[in-house]
Amino acid sequence: MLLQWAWEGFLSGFMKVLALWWLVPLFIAIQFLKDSGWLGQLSKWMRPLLRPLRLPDEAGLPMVAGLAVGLTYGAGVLIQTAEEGKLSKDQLTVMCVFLGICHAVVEETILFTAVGSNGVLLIAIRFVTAAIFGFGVSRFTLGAAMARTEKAGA
Amino acid sequence: MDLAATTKRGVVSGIKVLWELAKVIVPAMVVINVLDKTGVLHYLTEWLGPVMGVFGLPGESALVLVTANFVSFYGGLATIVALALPFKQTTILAAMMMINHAAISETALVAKAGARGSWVLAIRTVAMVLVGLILNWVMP
Repeated sequence: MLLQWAWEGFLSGFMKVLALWWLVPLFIAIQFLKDSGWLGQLSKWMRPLLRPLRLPDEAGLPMVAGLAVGLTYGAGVLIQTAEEGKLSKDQLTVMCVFLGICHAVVEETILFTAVGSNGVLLIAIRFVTAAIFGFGVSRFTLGAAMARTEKAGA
Repeated sequence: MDLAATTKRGVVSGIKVLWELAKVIVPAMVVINVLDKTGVLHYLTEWLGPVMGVFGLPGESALVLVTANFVSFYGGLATIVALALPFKQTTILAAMMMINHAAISETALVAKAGARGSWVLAIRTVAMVLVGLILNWVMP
């Protein structure tokens, strides 16, 4: 019984991973962005959001990915960024607090609007909540100098 | 820029990340399915019911938060639709489940990426409760 339930869970997990196949084309696209130097541009646009959270430019790409398509995809990009060793554990935590509260803004807002809720109101509530808690955690864990040092070191 | 080399590096890192995600998502789904089938989620919903009054919500709306957190975002959304509550209550519930959902798999992912998973989960839960309370208070 228990084994069968575990097996069913395994299968649905496996299907979930299969459904993520388009991470591969996404990563090809990101690699092109990186190699062509466009990524720096993208990160620059994200600065108004990153600076108040005391995050360096390297956080720009996972932030865009998480906000636009979702935490699973954002986490995919995040794992990659973390492996490159560009962000500290505290910086990753601040980013995940923000992204955890506010992510996949396009898909999830459309879904709620489709079922008759006020999507714009919901997205505003979410963004404000994410900003407040992300800001709070960054003040608590990241020193004021950190973002600047990281930037200078990059 | 070498097109072939760039494409190849993209494919390699894409597959590598898919594998890393699989190592988190598959065990999470096993745990979730066992919790569901053993009836643990049912008890959790019954236990949470009376607490929902704090947010101006009826007891059965606990099902939305439990489903959204332990099953999936879509499950929570479907439950909200099925409950067909008034606008204010729907908005409160929707905001709460949008802030905190898929607790098991998303926390595992965040931890896998190298952040402090328990912090992120704790803060999201606190944010969910506060937003629920504030909305119930300020919404007409």
